[in-house]
Amino acid sequence: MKPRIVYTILGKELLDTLRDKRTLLMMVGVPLLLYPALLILGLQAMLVQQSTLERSVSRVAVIANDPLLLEGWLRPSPKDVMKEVLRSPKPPMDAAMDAIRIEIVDTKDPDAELIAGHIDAVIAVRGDAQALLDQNASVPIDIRFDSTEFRSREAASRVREALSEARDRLQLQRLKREELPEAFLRPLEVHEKDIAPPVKRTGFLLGLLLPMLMILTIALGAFYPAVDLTAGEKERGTFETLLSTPASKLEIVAGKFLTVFLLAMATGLLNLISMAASFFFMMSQVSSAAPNKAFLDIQVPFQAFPIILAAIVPLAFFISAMMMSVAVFARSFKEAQNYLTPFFMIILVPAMIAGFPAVQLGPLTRFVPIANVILLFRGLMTGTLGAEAIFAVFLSTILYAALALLAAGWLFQREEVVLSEERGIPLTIRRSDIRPRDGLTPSWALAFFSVMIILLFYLGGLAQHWNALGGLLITEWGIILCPTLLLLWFVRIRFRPALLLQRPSWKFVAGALLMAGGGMLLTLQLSAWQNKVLPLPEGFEETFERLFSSSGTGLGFAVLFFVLAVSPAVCEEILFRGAILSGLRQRLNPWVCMAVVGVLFGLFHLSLYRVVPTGMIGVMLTYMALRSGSIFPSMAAHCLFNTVAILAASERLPRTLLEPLAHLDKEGLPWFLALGALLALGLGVALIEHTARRRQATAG
Amino acid sequence: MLRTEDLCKVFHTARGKPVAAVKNATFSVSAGEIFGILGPNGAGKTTLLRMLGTIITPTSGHCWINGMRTDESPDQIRSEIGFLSGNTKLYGRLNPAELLRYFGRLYGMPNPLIAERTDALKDLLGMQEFMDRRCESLSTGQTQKVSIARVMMHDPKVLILDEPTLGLDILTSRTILEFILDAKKRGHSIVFSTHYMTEAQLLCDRIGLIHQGELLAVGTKQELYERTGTESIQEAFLTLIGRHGAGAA
Repeated sequence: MKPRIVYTILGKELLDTLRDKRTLLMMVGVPLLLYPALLILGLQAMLVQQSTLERSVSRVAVIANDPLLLEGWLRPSPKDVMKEVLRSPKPPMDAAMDAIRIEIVDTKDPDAELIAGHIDAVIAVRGDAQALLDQNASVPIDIRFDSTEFRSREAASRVREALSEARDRLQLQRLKREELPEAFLRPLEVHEKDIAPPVKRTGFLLGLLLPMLMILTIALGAFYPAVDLTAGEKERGTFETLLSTPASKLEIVAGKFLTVFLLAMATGLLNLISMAASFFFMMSQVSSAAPNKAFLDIQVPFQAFPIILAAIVPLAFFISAMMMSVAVFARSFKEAQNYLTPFFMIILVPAMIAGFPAVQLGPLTRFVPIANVILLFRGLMTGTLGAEAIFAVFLSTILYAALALLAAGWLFQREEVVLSEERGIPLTIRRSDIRPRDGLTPSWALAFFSVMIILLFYLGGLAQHWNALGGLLITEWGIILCPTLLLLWFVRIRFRPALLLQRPSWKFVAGALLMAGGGMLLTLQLSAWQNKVLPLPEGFEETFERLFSSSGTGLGFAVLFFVLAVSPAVCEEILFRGAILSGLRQRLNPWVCMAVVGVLFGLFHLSLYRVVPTGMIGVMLTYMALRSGSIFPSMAAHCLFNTVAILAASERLPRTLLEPLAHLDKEGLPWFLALGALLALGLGVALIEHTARRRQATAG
Repeated sequence: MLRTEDLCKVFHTARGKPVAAVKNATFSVSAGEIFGILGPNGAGKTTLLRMLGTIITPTSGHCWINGMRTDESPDQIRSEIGFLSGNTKLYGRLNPAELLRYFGRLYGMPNPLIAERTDALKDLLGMQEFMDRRCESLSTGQTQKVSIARVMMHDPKVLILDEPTLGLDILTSRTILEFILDAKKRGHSIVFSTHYMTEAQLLCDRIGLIHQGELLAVGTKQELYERTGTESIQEAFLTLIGRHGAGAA
């Protein structure tokens, strides 16, 4: 892939898209104008309505034996009258009249008048109020109102408030009469205190609201470019023009995808900024109207923003790639809109499920696309997540994004998809249409890796949960090896060249074993150093030691050796140094190949703490396979790595080795072991290099 | 320059039924030659040219351009040919200058060369008046001139032109045809499809007559006349169709 071509396509697509009024409207117009306009207008309307309601007088009918007593209770308190006189610019007498918010009206049929909307509420006193009060009994009062009418609700609220004040006054009179203290009615004095600082409270609220909004805005931002750059281009008849240039389909996909991704990101960010600005404007308006409300005490957790931005990237990546994959099937803009509408619904389902308070970021939800990012935000905002969970969410989101992108790339390669002029595209893969090859393509290799890691997570996790050793055996042979061989067979890959099934020279095997011996010790030292920066969580080591020593299972060393050393050596090597390497070594130079396969091998172990050490081992194993041209030296070395691990965990190694290994954290490798390890590694590399060069010279 | 051998393309309908759009097409085109592919609508001309342009891959058979096989080095081949068809439209929101710069870059041309070629093509095709107007506002003739300029931007030695004069007025058609003749004089190999018999008669050194996906005959005008006992391409074509129909029956 030529970056210059990708960059050229990206530049043109950005220019072309930004000249499209529809996209501009969705991308810039909606966030910058619509949200603030809606929020501000809505708020203004609400404030005007509130103010009108507050200044209005509620018309209330009274049904009582002694209406004057009730009228007295409904009168404004002297405090309220004084407040209105001080606030109002009117003369004091007029202002005092304004403080009256409840007007008692005379009607013949109060309930009918209320239903007709002529009055706002009815107050009915059952029984003789004064007599009941004199007997220290309760006066039953009904407030009738229409909850669907703002005025009626406001009237009921005012009556409720006035009667509540009257009740408090009467209560005090009774206590005085009986010579009882005020505390008589309050045997418990409960005070609540929210210890969450405003920043945490705001974070919690944002954690609930923000992720859903982000997903919606990113999807909205990706929608038009994804459609325009695929189905739109087909409809305008320019796709074939582009396909007639030397740009490869992968370069075209990459350029178009980057455009959609950047525009989705830009729209997402613009939306967020606009919503945030509108939100703060609204809060400032509300707080100026109600300055003493504690719930308005908000502080934005700005320290969470980098994490939000970092999580937007894989999320936008995933959504953009998915949308492009779906839109490319359509022949026209309209058809693409029809295809993408259900997609919107589909991505909202995990988002909604993740919104339930009981759903947490657990071992299972970490790998559920969309939902995992929402739960990650929520966890980060409340500070309840560890590095391992963050790593798992980022890893899985990036993997899903990569899969979606590879799917888009694969679809672009299919001429019946990109050039279709018919509805109902037959999207089938016929094995007979595939030409036999000596290895996978790089995109197939990466797609296969992504699928394998998801299989490993779900099926492997399930099997190992059922039984640790049995589950591992099933994982290696059933989940790793079988699908690998099936895929290679289906896409007609020749096993012998792809899997490097060549008989190696004994010198390659000896070199690999020397490298493994030395590399093992150095990797252990590397893990010990890493432990200082990224300490292992409690129980992590114990789980491994228990597995490797299999204490209490009664299994012999032979079984452990087969499950933990031979099986990974065969199955994982076939996958990594066989299938995946076959795809990558055709396009990448050996050094890049080693680094990429090493990283993939590290990630495959699904633990943040194992990525670096296992990745280093992966680099060494890939080097052995590449230089020897055979998979067997790396299989032997892999087997040796795991055997040494079993021996160390079950304390079967000589004491001279076990002692220093136990204190690696504090003391590091003793000088003789470090020197020995370096020497073995160097000798191994030298032997492999020497043998490989001699073989090249002979072949040349 | 260009050679095909038993080129076939089979499409599958939505129900999976195979339909052969091109059957066993074999022909060659030399440097400085115009090879015309003549046939009615739906005969398979566009599919055949799309295979030559590496837009689609043949179901069987092979095609070589400049010594390279189209299925083995499609990207390299596309950098050495110019492909124009009714389906290769222009980006409406770009103007001709931006469009030519974009395609020049995709062909890996350095910026000074892009500017030089743009100026030359602008003068050659008479595009001065509308270089800064968006392509969506251009007339059919102006659009086709820009399309020709797009194809010629990297000065390819092989030109594959699918009905380049379709729907054009007489004046623009003449400009395009003169341009094709000029390209031939400069040693370009041109594969040119049309259903206008007169155009084929006027321009082509050799002609392939295609009907229902099958190349019925390939040869110079004279050879076709002799083979069919006729005196015009139109008559030769009708005679061949008649024989093909009788043979099929």
